[in-house]
This record gives sequence, structure tokens and C-alpha cells, in this order.
Amino acid sequence: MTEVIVSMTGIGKDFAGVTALHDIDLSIAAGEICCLVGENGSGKSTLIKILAGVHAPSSGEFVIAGQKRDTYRPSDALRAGIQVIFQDFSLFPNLSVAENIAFASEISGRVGRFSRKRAATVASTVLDRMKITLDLDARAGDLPMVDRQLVAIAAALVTDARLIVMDEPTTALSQREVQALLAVVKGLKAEGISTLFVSHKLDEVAEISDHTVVLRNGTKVADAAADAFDRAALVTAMTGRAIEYGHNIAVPVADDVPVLLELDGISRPGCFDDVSLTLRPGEIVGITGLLGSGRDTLALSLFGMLPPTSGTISISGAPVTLNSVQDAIAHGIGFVPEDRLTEGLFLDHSITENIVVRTIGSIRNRFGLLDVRRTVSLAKEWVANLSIKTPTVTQAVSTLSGGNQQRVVLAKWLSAHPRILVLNGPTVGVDIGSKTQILDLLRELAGNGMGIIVISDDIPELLDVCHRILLMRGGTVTDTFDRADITEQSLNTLLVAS
Amino acid sequence: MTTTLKRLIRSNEFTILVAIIVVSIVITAINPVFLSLGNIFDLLRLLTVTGILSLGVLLVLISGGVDVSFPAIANVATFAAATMLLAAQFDGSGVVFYLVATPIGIALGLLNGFFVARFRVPTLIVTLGTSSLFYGGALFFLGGQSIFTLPRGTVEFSQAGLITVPNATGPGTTSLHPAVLILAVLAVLVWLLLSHTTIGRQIYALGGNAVVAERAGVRVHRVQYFLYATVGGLAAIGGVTYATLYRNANPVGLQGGELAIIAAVVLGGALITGGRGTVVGSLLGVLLLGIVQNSLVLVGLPATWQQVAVGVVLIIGTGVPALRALRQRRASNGGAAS
Repeated sequence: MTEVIVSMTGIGKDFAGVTALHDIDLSIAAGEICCLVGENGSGKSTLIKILAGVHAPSSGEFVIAGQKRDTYRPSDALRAGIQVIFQDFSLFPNLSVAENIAFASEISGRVGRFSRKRAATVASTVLDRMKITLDLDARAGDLPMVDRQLVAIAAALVTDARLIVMDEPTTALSQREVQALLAVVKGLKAEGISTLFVSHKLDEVAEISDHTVVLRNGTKVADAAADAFDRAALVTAMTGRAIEYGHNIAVPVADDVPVLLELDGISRPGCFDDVSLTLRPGEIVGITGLLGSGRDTLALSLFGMLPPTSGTISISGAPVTLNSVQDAIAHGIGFVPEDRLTEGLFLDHSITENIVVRTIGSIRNRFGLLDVRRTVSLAKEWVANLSIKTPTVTQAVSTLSGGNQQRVVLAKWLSAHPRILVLNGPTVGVDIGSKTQILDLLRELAGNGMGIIVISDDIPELLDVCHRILLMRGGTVTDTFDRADITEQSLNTLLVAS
Repeated sequence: MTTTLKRLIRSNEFTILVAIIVVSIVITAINPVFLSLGNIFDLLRLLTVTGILSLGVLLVLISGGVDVSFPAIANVATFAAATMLLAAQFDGSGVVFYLVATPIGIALGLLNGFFVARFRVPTLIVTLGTSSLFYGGALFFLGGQSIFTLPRGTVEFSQAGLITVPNATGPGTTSLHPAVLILAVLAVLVWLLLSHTTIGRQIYALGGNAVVAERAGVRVHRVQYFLYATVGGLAAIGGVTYATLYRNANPVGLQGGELAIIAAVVLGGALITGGRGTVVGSLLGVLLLGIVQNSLVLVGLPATWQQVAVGVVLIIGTGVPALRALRQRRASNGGAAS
């Protein structure tokens, strides 16, 4: 029988009377890759924090290396060889790769002389073991995301980790980078080191998992060998219902509806070239393409951030200039940015403040001062409208799950009643359940006469909501398809063809 | 090898060095006296105290804090030590002045450390408070009378010279004051501390990400106590050097100079948000500002323009790297948005 590294039984966790986890059993054997899947808010993060010793469980027991633990603190987790890599990677951006990797043995665990050479030796030994190479002298903060992830894993290995927990490690990675990471995880397995891999990307799970655990609403709904699940079974387990995607075919908007937004041959050197597009009220137009194809810069230019240098933009038939964000807003354009955490939200501020920030200038009482009560009622209205899951509207946005945060971004724009909404990656980092709800919302908004542009590399998502899809490559629109004329397969083929 | 060279050229230190060379060439072209040994010795004498104090500022900035209390600590430690020496009618070596003042500086620094570590108050606020406290306390307990009666050893030290040269302009001589060696030794020590000890790297780690440092097992409180004690000690040494060079100890001498020194260190590449900075960069920053500040008279500009020139250097010096960083970010966004 293989050795069990950690086993938890009946773990429960309450936060101020709200049950986050209920009666969870989980055991991880040496050399096993266990995947923990679940939607945002299903309790994955809480479970990881309990495993890291950051949260104490309200009930249940812990057995680590065959010993029952009554108290369990972060230092106990480290001593037991359990290393948690949180989403921020816990790196020092200003220190070198070597220093980050060797931090535990050469910097925090030692008093006196620091030897750069010894740190480099420690680091390169671990990297050799992982069969990867990194520039040891580079600053960690200058590295691409995947390399930071690898540095974090290497740093965990330096401490003789037996179980490495990775919290949604692939969120910010490209397909190729994901493969590199998965290869490292498999290498660890070969050495007998276990991984608890938290994800909601089912393809990755299918590729590496030995043992898959599904959480939903704080309870464990499935726990079995990975090959016991197919994709559909996983989705059903995660969401509690069967969800099918990309099979919806939007009914085209009639040609005689007046055009809302028209781009006529707009260009911006180095970004995009000769892009034309028409958008009617009620229409959802998708734009896809690989990174660097110009789709992201086009989105920014529609919001006045990278104004085109030639060509015309017309709204309702009249030419307009969009030289600034203010211009775009004045013309009724709303923009949901790709990275909501840094560009779309004030994370430490309340839901209310985030929702009203666009319209706060008009929420005045009869003395001309800010009407605080109305901001709250407005926020409550939108929380209800978009079914944002939160106990109060005064809560900081950072406490919400990804799907709910994205809904706050949407609420911010919708409360200002835009005529045109541009969304870049509207469901990045959002779980499947929330994703369907956000896509439903977009359809509903279009149904009410809004014109919507969705930029995304998630093909099924585009197929699901769009009337038309534009394919960009090298800064130009190479193809335009009506929804009825295209399938997931044909679009994917075109996307990767060079 | 080439990457090392590239890194060197792209470094902040290199940029400032180039700026110093350019400024020096311009000034020398207008007035060759600038490059005379006499002028250089004068400049070094003027910048010795600033240089010593900048080392402490650097340490705090790297750790992610901002300390504005170091002039107060320097003044109070020096003034208290001078008062004690006067009361004891001590008239011996100048070293004793340092030996008495430094522990006082360390003690005052520890008080800063206590507030920063225990109450987790932002360092700027803590040191604004303690600065006022130290200064007011010194006035109340020790009085505000400048002390001109310093030990004989101190007076002798103030007149010492390593190398003496005749003045380039007019009669008389100028000497290279040995206090420069104190700065040199301290600079090497701080450099060793930062680059070659684990606690030095922990100070960088703290400035890089305090939460992660704590999670990674750094004993943050201990580092903070150590840091602020060291800074207090450096301030006291700077203060005694100041009193020695000007042959009087008073409670207000260095007051008001804190922001200029912080600015010089930032000019030298230290990040105000913490985690980055080097000894060489700080000293070069101090030197550049010092040259600009003290050499305008040589090129015939009225002294009233000093402040303007210093302001211009600071804005350009901190603005250009910031702009470069912004450009880089923009460029990477335009090509392939992340």
C-alpha cells in the first residue's frame, strides 16, 4: 500500500455562521496527482488554506504522516512538507531567481553570511532536477507568469516538499506554457512528490489527474480515479446540471435596422490595419485571433485608449472621434477590460463604491452633495439584477469570487446605460456556471437593443452568443463569418492556420 | 559577459555616473577650478555627512519604509553626547564623542523600530512623530544653547588633513579631511551588510513583499529592530561628524535636510516603494546633487538658483527612469497584450 501523505476526515469550516466547507474527506497518497475542481466559491480556496494551516477547521480531523494533529499551524504544514503555492506565487519581485528559489535555505533559514554562489548552486540543482533552465540572475518580477510559477515550484522543492499545492496555476498561462508546467508536475510525480492541483480547466485535469475531487457549494460531490470521469460528467458534478456550450445559434438582426457603430478602415500603425465593422443594436459581434493579432489593441481603441490614426468611426451614422476614455464614455461606450483585477475594479473598495464609480457624479441630493443612501440602494438593485452572490454591498470586491467580480464590473457599466458595450475576455477566470449566466446576460442586453462586441479566444463562448465573428491575424481582419456558417472545428482550424 | 555589460549600462548607477561626468565637463569648461584638487576636497568635505546619512536612508527605503527622523536622531544623539562630555569636563580623544553618541542614536533608532514593528504604523508617520518627539525632548531636557566647547581631540580632528594642497583661487590651503574615510568605511560595511549577509537580503525581501517575507519565515520584527537600530547608529555617527567638522553641537543643525537626502537616494535608484537600491547608487546620487548644489557659483550663476537647479535635477533624474519604465510597459502592451 502506498504511503498516505495527508488525510482529512469530516473537515468543516464556518465563517461567521456561513458554512464554507461541510464534512470533507480527502486523502492524498505519495506520488499522486490529485486534482481539486469546482466552481468559484465552491470552497476550493478554503480547503487549501486549511491544508496550509492558514485557517483552522471548525470540525474534523487531520492525519499527517500517520499522526493525528490537534493543532495545525502554517509552520506545521511546512514541517510536514506541505507547500502551498498561492495564486500570487509568493515571490519577491525584486530578488533574483536564484535568491527566490534558495530563500528558505540560504536567506531566511540562516544567520550571517549570504553567499550568492551557494544560492546559485542550490537553485540550479533544483532546476536541473525539474529539467528546466531559467536565468538565475534575472529579477523574479521581470519573468513571464509561467517562469514565476516554476520559480515558486522550485522554491517549494528546496524545502523538501512532499506535497505541493498549486492554486489555479494555469490561469494566466498560454497553451504552450501550460504544457511546460504540466510536464514539471509529471516529473515531480515520478520522484514521488504529490501535487494537489486546483483548477477549473477540465482539459488540464483530464491530462494529469490520477484522482479527481469535485467540490460544489462547500461539499464534496465526487471523488474517484480520474478515468472515472469524462468531461460531461465533470461539468455535471461541478455545476449540478448538464451544460452544453457553443451549440446556440443566434438569430441574425435584420439588415434594415439602422447601424449603431461603424468602423470604416481604421488603422493604427503597429496595432491594427484597415479594420471595418458594423454593429447594429441587438447584435453581438465576436472578435477572435491569437495574442498579438490586434484584437486587444482594437478593443482599447474602441474605448479611446489607442486612437486610430486613420479611418473613421461612426456612431448612429455620425462620424465621431474617440481620442480619450472620456470621448468613448460620452458616446455611450462601455468597456469591460481583460484584466478586471487591475483595470476594472478597486479591489479593496466595497461593491457599492465599485458599482457607482461611473455614475457617482449624478447621484446627488438636493444640496448637491453625494446621496450615500441612494448609492447603496443602487448597488443593491444591481446586486439583485445580476444575482451577485454576496452577504452585503459594503463588502470589499476582493472577497468575491471571479464570476461575481466580473458581474460587479458589468454592473458598473450597465448602471450608466451604455449603448455599446465592448468586452475583452468577459469570462476569463470565471467558472462554468457563472460563465453561462454572464453569456445569458449579454444575450438579454442585446435583446434590449444594446450593441455588443466580445473579444475572446474562447471559441465555444463566441459561438454561443455571437451573431457574427471576425477573425483577426497580424492586425487585419482576415475573415468575417455569420454564426450560421461556422462550427467550432472550422473556426479553430482557421485560428491556428498561419 | 555581454549580458553583464548590458545590465551595467542599463543600470541606474551608470546613468547617474554619466550625468555626473557630463555635468563635470560642462562646469570645468566654464570654470576649470572645478577640477582642482582644492575644490574636490571642499566638495568631499561638504558631502561627507550627507553621504553617511544617506546610507541610513537607503537601508530604510530598501525595507519599504521612509524615515524622516534621522536628522533629529543625529542632532539629539550628538547634542546629548556633547552635553555629557561637557558636564564630565572630558577633554580627550575625538573618538569618545563618537562612542558616546552612537549608542544614544541606536537607542533612539530602536524606539522607531519598536513603533514600526509593534504597532505596524506606516514608517513615515512613526518617524514624523518621533522626529518631533526627539527634537522637542532635546530642547526641553538639554536646552537649546549651542555647545562650542568640544573635547580637544575633536577640535584637533576637525583641523586634520590627509593631503593638503594650495588653493586654486587666492592664498591659503585646502585639505582632504579624514572624515571622508569614515564615510568610506561605513559605505563598505553597509554594502557588505546588504549584499553579503542573510539579514541584508531579508531587508530586500521585506521591501519586495512583506507578506511573503513573513510567510517565508523571515522574522520581520527582528529585522525591523536591527534595521532601525543601525539607522539610528548611522545617524549619530553622521551627527558627530557634522559637529566635528563645524566645531559645534546644537539640537537643530541637520534639521530640515531629510527630504533632500531622501531625494538624493531616490535619484540614486532606490525605489520609494521599497525593495531596490544600492550603496553605490545612493552615493552617486548624493554626489550629483552635491555638485549641482555647490558648483553653480563656479559657473557664475547666483546662489539663489541653487534650489531651482536641484529641483530640475531631481525631476529629470527621477522622471526619466519612470518614463522609461512606462514606455516599456506600453510597448509590451501594444505588441501582445497580456
